[in-house]
Amino acid sequence: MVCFILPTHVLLELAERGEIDLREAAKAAVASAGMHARRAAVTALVQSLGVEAELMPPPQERKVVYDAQHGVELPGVLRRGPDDGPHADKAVNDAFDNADRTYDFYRDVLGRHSVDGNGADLISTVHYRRGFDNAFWEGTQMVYGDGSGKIFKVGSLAADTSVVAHEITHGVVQFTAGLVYSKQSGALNESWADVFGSVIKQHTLGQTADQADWLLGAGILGTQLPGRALRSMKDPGTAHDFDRQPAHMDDYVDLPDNGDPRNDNGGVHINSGIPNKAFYLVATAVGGHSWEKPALIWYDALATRLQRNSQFKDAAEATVASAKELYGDDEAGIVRSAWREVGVL
Amino acid sequence: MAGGRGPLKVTVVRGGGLAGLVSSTAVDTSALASADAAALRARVQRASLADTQAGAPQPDRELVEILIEDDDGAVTAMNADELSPGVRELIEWVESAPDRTEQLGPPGP
Repeated sequence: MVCFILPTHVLLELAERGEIDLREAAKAAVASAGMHARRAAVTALVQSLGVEAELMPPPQERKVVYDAQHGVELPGVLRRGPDDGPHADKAVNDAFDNADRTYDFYRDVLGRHSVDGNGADLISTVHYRRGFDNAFWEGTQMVYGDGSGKIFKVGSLAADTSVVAHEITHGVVQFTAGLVYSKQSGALNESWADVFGSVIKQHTLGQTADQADWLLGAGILGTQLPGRALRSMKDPGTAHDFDRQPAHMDDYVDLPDNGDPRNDNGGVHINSGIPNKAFYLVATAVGGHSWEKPALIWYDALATRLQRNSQFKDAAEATVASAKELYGDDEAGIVRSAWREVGVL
Repeated sequence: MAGGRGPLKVTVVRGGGLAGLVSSTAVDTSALASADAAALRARVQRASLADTQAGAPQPDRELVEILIEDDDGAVTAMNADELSPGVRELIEWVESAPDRTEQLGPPGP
């Protein structure tokens, strides 16, 4: 089938005007409809156009893990395919199992199939370089270093559910709002990755918002980085000795985005503390499981309202609007209060 | 540059990344054994830093800066995560050199 990356309403308009094939448009619209409710609504809409809507079966879940064998070539050597059982290498299984948890969460809780919403393979590469202290989303796949033991414990990155879910969520952001990785839009990209990193960990552990630690990468830090985690959504700026995350706009760190490694793309990993704290406040005020109303509000804002250059204020308004549309005035009020408390509204 | 006998210092700065921290590793020929100093000079000459260039930013991907200082002055190559084999070899040598100095800290000034 044709792959469309246009919003559903644009697709339907084009189809109505006869500019694209109606059947292809209908299939694409249904396939890309994110949440269950939206999928049903789109199906009804397509049928109202008089198309014989042939609903596609849901995409198959596919996860694959490669081994860079300490080099830099991606993806590397295939170690575990979609239908393979566990591999002898723990790093391979860690990346596979955490990708599995993340895929299942997006599908079962948010009605989204993989990063693109259409069942794209979740591809991971482990053993990237030697003792490499990083994990990243490369645009089409996840990449994990082993960690040197100095910044990250050896083997800890692919083994941490919040880290893996964070990286996969960067993929989801790329296929939805496409938040530009610079300054405030980049900090929102980081924050949404942290939010779903933490929420998916909470879902895996069956924790309520009150029980959760709200930490990203708890217990994975190496000997040169004293601390308990990479970031704390509950108390930004307290996770480790070099944590400079603010929790309020008064403390926003305005760094240039000039390619200098000292400036972190304009402080994307610093200022994400502000929207992170806003989500924590919403989740604890709503109570219960963060993957219920709070995560659905945040996902709806990402998938339907945020845009490439959205700033913190746009994100606040988007989540308030999503809360109001999905649940009503009480929830919208909670979201508005949270953004006020961190100084964005 | 870096072909002379004067002191040569190479610093590799990594930033961005999942942690968003800045790590810096430096080696100075004046603190190295003569065989190591010669190995460093040879790698700097092979590295052709002029080829390095910035790509589009990718989430959590590291940014790397290489700073080379000697009697002739200083040369900086930025955004060098995806590099030619020569540059990568230089970075790997510096980051595992016997008498290197390392620093880790938060981003910003």
